[in-house]
Amino acid sequence: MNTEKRLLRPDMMPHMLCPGCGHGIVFEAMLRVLDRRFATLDQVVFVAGIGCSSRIVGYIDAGTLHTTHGRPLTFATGLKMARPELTVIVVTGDGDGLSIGGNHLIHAARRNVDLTCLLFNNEVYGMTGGQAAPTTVRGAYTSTTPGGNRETPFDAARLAEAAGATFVARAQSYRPQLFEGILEQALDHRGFAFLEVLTDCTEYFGRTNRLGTGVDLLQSQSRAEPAIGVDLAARPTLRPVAETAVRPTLPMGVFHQSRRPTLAEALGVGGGGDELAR
Amino acid sequence: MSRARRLPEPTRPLPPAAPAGNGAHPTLTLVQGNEACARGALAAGCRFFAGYPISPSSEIAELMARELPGCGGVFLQMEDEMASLGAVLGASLGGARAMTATSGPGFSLMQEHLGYASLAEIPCVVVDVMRGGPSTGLPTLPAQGDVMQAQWGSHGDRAAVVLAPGGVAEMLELTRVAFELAERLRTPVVVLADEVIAHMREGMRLPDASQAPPPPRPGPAQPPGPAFAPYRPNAAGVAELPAFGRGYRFHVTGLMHDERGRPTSDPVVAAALLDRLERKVAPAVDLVPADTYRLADARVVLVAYGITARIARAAVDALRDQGVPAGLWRPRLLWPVPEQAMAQALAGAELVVVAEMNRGQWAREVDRVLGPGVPSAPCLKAGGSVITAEELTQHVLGARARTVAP
Amino acid sequence: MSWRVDVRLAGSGGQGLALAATVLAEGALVAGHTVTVVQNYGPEARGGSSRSDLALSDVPIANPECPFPDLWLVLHQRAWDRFVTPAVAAGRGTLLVDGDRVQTGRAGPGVIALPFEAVARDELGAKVVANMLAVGALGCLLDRVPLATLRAAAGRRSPAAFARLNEEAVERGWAMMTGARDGARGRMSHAGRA
Repeated sequence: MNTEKRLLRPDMMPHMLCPGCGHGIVFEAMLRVLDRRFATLDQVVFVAGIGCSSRIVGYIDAGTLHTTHGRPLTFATGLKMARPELTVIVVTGDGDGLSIGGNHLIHAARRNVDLTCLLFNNEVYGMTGGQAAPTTVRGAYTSTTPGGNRETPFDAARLAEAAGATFVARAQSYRPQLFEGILEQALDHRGFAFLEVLTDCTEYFGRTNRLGTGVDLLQSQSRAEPAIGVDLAARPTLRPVAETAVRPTLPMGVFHQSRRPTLAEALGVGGGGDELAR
Repeated sequence: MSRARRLPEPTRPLPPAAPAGNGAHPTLTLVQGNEACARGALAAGCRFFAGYPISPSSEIAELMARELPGCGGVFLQMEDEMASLGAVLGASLGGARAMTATSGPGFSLMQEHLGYASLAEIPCVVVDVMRGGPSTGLPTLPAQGDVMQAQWGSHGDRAAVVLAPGGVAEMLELTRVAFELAERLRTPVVVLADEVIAHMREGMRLPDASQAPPPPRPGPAQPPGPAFAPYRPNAAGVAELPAFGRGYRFHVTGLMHDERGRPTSDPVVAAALLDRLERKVAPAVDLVPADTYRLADARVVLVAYGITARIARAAVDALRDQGVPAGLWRPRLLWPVPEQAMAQALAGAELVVVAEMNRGQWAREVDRVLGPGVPSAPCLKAGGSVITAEELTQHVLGARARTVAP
Repeated sequence: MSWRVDVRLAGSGGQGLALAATVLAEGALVAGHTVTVVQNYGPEARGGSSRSDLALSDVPIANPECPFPDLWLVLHQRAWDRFVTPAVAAGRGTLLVDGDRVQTGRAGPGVIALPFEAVARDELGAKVVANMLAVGALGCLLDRVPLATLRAAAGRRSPAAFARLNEEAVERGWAMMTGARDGARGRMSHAGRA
């Protein structure tokens, strides 16, 4: 962790993530990538919305912008137009990015704003106490779906791709190395890079649906990978498919990558850097 | 020309023609209010505009879309008004002078980001061209119904700075002033215009387009480093955030925060921050003085802003013609309320008449400052048409007959 | 004693009423007058009737709206039907109309009909300059902006391809009004009263 300490703000600790929260795993993997890629974070700005995942940007010793609920992509779009030379990484959640901020997500993808959008999907509103999200699987119990969720969740990656994102991928907290590799690719990409990462909310989603500990939840993610899922199929406490809510088997990896002009390129902004803010 | 054409009997003789053709105003250009606003923004160094189409403000966006690319700026049409102000704040945090323009419904959608900009101390200019409301209301008709929203529309106690231009030339001037205030006080500044002033054209002197834009926003006095506290105020109580990516690493949040920008839920810290944010905008009252008309010896004082103030001038003349010692006090800054200047201007008045195109939004502020001692008889009209000079004159005469002893 | 003259220009979208108002206003501005222009817009103006209010004065203008104009220009029947209510028609204002396009339902004091569109088409070869003919006629009636000033304003405010033609049209429109006035054998006590 020593190499990562230079990237953190000790005076913002202790962090507010719950024990067993999948966000911590993703965050640590993210720090490893930052450590490898950036000698300094002076030219990196993290922009986040509201929610558990969005809070982590405050722990990073970079430019960090904790905006309003659902709107980080709008701030990031303006920042990127004013300062195209900056590396902008948006951190959002499934409620922030797909519910209240869903419109901004599709428009940022359509504009191909040159940034990385990292969407933590834990299927629930954790910060506000475990309410249903637009990603909550059918049948799942949350504090606002006491009889089980009747609605159908979004497939965030397919949504982003349809909206015009030029890099679309999915990873999971279960396999941090896979996530790191994909994040590297997303940061390399020129254009709107959308990376959904599946994580788990132990305190609300896990507890409400009696899915076990954080470790149990993490292992259950392997169902997303049929080869690993076989071993775990024998464990009935882990999201038995037939009876209760289960995250459907979702593919992981990079689904789409293409090249078209970014917003800055389309507008002819950014040749010489920061001309707006002399 | 086969048809019979008869010239009319003069039904209402025109006054004798003024000496014409002398080119008395060779430097005046016929300019629309919204255009003047955009020109003022460009002259103030605005280089980023994000907006969403809405009547009656759209001409501002259209002109910025035409002009900004040519001067190295960026125009974005966003997906809605929340996104528009979000992008403006992002650009401002990058160091750009940035603005958006909207009208009532869009202004309502911007309220959360106005609150954010106030608390996070991000300079920007928001133009609200008021139209009839509530809701979609009267999209093309004038009103002054957003006065309270401009101050209290966002949740929490926001220290607002709100300007009210009274004509086309002032649309330019006060937009420029709005940028100066925003940059100096590090806060969002609202230009509260109305549909009539935004859409009317009149002659005005346009600024020299070749003028150099103002210098970039100054950075903080503190050096970067682990001890850097972005929200440690300067002597004027203003936190001078640097732009992102200029050697400073810092955190900006809409949560209550300490001087380091760290979120806090300490009630003492939060209350002190609210105090400071209110104190820091107080100098605006001296920076944007009110305008007066025939006020020196007036006993009946009309208070009006925007298009209503122009009409009130005519009412003052009409009242004076009838021997009523009337005068006009025209605030150009509505928030913070210039209480001291108002109290001075209204001292000695035997009747105060606030005229506004709403149901008494700013009249309450005037009454609050006046106290119960002075008769006050607001002339209020909402519904999409201006108060005419005749209506206002009759209103004053009626109120005077009721309140002032002969 | 200060003065103010209110002019309302009404027609159908596409007849160039907004440009006409702008040219008149700019001419008045150059001539040293105070001037304001407002026009209807949005759904009210789209595909329907267009309306511009022009106020001229020697002092700052309070309300730019002109609900009781001294002088009307009406170039389309739809605009007449919509804006020129019986009360208006019976009022104090002078009504200048395109006699081929507008059936006023009455003749007599207060109504001047000139064939702007026909002259534009037959003599100037472009129906679209009817608006500038009307500007010239209005300018003559107003008697507050010299012809040369008005002509120059038309040239400045027109698309380059139309600048010359519009200047000519202003001059021709002015002459139409002068001719009509002469035809009326000096019935008006002084030129320019409306």
